Amino acid sequence: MPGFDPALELQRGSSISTVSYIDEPGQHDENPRPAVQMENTYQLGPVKRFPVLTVNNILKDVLTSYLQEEKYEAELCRQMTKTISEVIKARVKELMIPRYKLIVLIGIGQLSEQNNLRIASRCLWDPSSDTFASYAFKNSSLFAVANVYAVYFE
Amino acid sequence: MYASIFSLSRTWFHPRSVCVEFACSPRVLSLVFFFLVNVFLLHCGPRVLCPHRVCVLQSVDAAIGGSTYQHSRVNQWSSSVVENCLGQLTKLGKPFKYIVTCIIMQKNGAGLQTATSCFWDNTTDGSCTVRWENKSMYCIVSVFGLAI
Repeated sequence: MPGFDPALELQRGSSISTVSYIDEPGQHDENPRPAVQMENTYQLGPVKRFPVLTVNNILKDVLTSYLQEEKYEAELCRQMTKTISEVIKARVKELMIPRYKLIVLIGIGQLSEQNNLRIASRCLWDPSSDTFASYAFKNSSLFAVANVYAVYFE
Repeated sequence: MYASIFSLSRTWFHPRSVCVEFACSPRVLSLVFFFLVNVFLLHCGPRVLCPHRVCVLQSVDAAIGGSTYQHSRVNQWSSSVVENCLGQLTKLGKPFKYIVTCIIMQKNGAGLQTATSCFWDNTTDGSCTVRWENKSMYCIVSVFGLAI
């Protein structure tokens, strides 16, 4: 669920960017729960660690199966990014790794001869328990990058 | 509508003295303004509010403000944008783990679609995305904050 501005169209010069949601960010907060006091678990670290290699394989499977034969088209790829991010989140949740919060980030871009793009990320977390998995896919007309960040909830 | 604005303000907007003032003197204009401010704050995400957006914009401007796209310098730019952002967010001193992602793309007519999907606690975690551009490139910075 991206926490963007409300859906709006910006037109600056010759470029247009739009934002769209699957779930509106404010919807789930209509009946806010009272703050829950958690009991102490006395655990110093994660019982089951996040399986990076398994998740890399999941990313590779999902991206290849959804995008192998596709050509880049704006509307199709917009839907595709949303669908793929939901699918990857569901498959990683199926692994049932307790106390891990997930963030899935997908980017699909058009391949052109001169297209230059750089994606970078830095994280402020606990490296002994938090980690990430990443996969980049390419076919003749598009490229796709998928990142999954897993953060342990202490 | 009056009751719902009051409950909205109690949930998200402090200090309480402001809520009481508006409850006692219902003027239409002040109520509408108050409601609009709350809507704006809500849409930024529950706990990741405007100061984070300001940090990000400042970092991006400082790192690549007046520059033209150069392939040899992109590595250095993206690293500095992300490190500046993270440094400024840390200085805010809030109890969050942060993930900052930056995408720098040359303006070429090619298209890019990005999406994020998150599994977290809605009441404590949130995100903020800033889209910045100049004449030669785009920069999209996403900040995710997860409460400790």
